[in-house]
Amino acid sequence: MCILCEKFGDPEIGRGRWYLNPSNYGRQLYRRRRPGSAPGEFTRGYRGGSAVQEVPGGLRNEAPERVPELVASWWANVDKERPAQVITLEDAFEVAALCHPFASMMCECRLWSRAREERNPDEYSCGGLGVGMLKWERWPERYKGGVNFMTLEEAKDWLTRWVMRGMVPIIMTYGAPYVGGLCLCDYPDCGMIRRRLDVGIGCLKGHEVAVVDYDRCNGCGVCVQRCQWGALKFEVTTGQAHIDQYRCFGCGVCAVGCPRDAITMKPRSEFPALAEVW
Amino acid sequence: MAMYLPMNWKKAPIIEIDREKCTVPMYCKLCLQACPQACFQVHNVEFERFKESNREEPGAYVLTAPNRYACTMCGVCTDVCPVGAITITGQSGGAE
Repeated sequence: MCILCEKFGDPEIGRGRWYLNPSNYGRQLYRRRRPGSAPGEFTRGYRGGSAVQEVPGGLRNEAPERVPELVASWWANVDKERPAQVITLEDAFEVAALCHPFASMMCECRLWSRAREERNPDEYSCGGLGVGMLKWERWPERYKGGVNFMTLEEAKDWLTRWVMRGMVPIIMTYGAPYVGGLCLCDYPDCGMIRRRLDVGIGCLKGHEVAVVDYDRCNGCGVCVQRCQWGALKFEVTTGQAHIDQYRCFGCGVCAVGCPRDAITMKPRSEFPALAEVW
Repeated sequence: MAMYLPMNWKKAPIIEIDREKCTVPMYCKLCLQACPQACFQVHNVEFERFKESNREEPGAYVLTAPNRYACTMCGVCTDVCPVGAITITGQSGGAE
């Protein structure tokens, strides 16, 4: 069972999934760093949102030999860090229905990594959830734009549009278990996917695994370009798609894009060897 | 797309950025867009809540190379840099 579900999930609510448990969106969980308090080891260096991106970077440059120790400590304290988890589009719809408010905004990762400045609401590719977004309503005089509040229908359209384009929905915490963001990420610009694939920390795999239905797959190859994890390739021998299920993160982006519905998402718990692979 | 083993990060190419020459990376951003391995990042130096740093002010943003372990030393960034601020030294193999 997923460590975050064990800690923060409720078996009777939302199929036991931690991000479908409304208490994880609670106002009392919204934490602000106290003025003068020092940032932790994983968020030192540059201040503000950029600290997220700088995490492994600072470590790599200064003391590469300490990285294994820090990665192990991240996994040992995953319930106190800022973990994220890959979710499917269907789960993202449920999250959007659960939280208020739901807003889209500029992606901070892409700003730092590719200097991409998303300036109008159609380009916003990062979702903000819950009471953290209400600060813009509380201090309107300091609001400088860049946040687009959405209704549930708008949120669903927005999520569908980005996932159809190939982005991976990832649910973010800002100090577990406070759920504060729903990022739409790709490799290598997104901090979460990059940290997970390059360093091995950052986000957990999803609760599902993609399975190819070989009776339906005609080898059109649409899914191959959609996998951000390097799990999906075109198998020349059979002329069909092939998914490495150990590398699959269960985002469902391939399943959403398949024109013949040949990829289905199955619960990780149905695969005994994969059940504890996060 | 590879898992970069931490024990090899010492061998990663060293990307030196001359901050005297590179002053407005957020305004120029050529290396950020050109790098095939997305090694570079840009950060604002002084962080103030609800305020955006001026991109054209020298020194407001700083260019870093936190993902230098992924650098292949292809030389695209040194070619594209209009002020010649980037130099890369390293060896075959790198961090992989």
